[in-house]
Amino acid sequence: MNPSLHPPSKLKRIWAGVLLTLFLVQVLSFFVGLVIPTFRVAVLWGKTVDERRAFLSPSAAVFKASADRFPLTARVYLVDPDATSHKNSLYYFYPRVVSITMTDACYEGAYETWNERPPMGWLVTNGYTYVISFKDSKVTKVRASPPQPEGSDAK
Amino acid sequence: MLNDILRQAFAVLVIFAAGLIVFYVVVREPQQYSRLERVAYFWPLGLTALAMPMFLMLLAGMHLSATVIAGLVITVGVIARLIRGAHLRDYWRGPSASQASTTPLTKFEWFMIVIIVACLGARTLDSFLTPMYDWDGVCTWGVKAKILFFSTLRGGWDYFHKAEFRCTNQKYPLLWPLMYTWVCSVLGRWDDRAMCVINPVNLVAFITIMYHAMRRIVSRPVALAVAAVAASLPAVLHYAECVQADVPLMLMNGASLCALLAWIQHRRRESILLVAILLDGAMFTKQDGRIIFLAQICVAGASIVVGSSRGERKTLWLHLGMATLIAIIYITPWMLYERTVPIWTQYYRPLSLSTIRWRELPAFIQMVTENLVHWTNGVHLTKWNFLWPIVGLFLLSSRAPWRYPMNYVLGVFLLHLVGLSIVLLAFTYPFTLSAWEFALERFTLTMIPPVWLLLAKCVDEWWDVWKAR
Repeated sequence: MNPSLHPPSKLKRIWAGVLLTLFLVQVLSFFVGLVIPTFRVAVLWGKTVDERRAFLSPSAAVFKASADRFPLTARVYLVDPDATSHKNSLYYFYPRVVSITMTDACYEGAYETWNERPPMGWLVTNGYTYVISFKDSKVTKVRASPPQPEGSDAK
Repeated sequence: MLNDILRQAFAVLVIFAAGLIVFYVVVREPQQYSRLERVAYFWPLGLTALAMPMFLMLLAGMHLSATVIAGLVITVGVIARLIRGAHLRDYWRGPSASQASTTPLTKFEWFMIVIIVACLGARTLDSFLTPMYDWDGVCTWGVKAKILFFSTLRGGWDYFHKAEFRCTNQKYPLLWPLMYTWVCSVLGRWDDRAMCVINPVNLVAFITIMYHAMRRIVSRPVALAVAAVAASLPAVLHYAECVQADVPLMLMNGASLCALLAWIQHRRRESILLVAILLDGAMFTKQDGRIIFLAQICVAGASIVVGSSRGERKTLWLHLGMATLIAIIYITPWMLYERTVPIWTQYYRPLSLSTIRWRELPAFIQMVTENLVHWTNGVHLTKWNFLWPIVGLFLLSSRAPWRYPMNYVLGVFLLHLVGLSIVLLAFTYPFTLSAWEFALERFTLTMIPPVWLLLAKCVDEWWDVWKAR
């Protein structure tokens, strides 16, 4: 466009003003996005990493604290899993082995159908050392002899 | 504490160094890029260059070793220097034919710079404080990185193949988890707070690359204003902190698009080689990277057919063929490995004309529109401010997006949009915003780079009209 040869019509100039004003509104909305990290920094500053985790995701903090109680060589069978307990356990317990199935079944989107409560013999044979139920807040140590509840504060 | 900071800095520097080597080998005319822009390109190039050797090491059953990777980078750097010949200092110091303006910055421009620095600075500081906590970070990306830190791809085979672990999205590519594994390998321990040091670099590199690309086609205040919008967009700022691969994919898409635009305008071979390498990075970051690859390669082909003289076509097809070949060779090991991972058909059916739910198209469009215009998402985080209605108005009322060379940028955006929509229409999930909201936010982020270039060109066009009063 050469403005000296073809000056824009009045309507076009008005439309340019409208569009540029709208764009300016978007530019000046920068504080909406800036609030997100600024608020986060203000809240997290001076806290320990565990405190920050607990603030951001209380459930993540619970699963991490639970996992830290077990030796790294633990092999855990998780009973009564749901999406939250299963996925958080997979991450926070690793490198401890966590399993919810005896049959390599996938329960994604169908945790309510889970029904794989293993007998003690199977757990011993497959090397599992603990059975955890976050639903019942219960940890059971796997032994060749009958199982003995270890505590009720897994959660 | 200081030891950790030094190790984190070393991990980041090695990635930059790997990118520098790739840039040094590929780009014969570094003066086409400003120094800041070169450094920004080092980051996505370094991610791409390091990820595949890391993947192959882990596939071979070797643990990721900081010494081995650093040694590899130094060795390749020395070989590159010997073969390439150009002295690195001269290469770096060479004049920059950039758009650097000698005009002093206006108050408006200073204000835009303050917005950009404040947003990037706040996000960077936040990333240094925040441990991984986001759901997809834990379930998909973080768990993969942790497995690869403590084990290898061979040792952790079950996690990537057994049905029990399908909830971790086993087929997702590994570039980004590998980088967390890399940082933790340098640290010598698994630390899901310290590894997040690499998160903000993606956004900083992205804004730098996009600003310089915009600066080539529009005036400085407009480029700064659009860069300020890009840097302050709530969804971008939120996801830049998460342990997820969407912002890295946005970076790969943006960087390759800018290189593609340079190739379409100037037809330099080095530009299309950068496109190839960055598209490799995109394909190894997320599966959507393949759609971006197809979109950009198709547009590059179209630019040869439509926008070149008969005499230069043979050379340009050779350029494009070489780029495609490089991309395919790079990604082949991952594709072969991925074929060993079972397909998860619970939510998704293999793509074919019969599996695409065309009848659901109205519901799909409604869902996408809602995603673009809603102020907050399901967890009350702001999304786009007023961006999409404004972009729509600008696109519909401006001429620039429909003319050379921006029509090719628009083409990349539309092909990406159509390709992704077709893939999503094959999902069996109901098309409601509550079911798709977060996925749609992330898909939108990865598609956004062309929008910044188009918006900048549109704003520039109307700014000229306004100034001509």
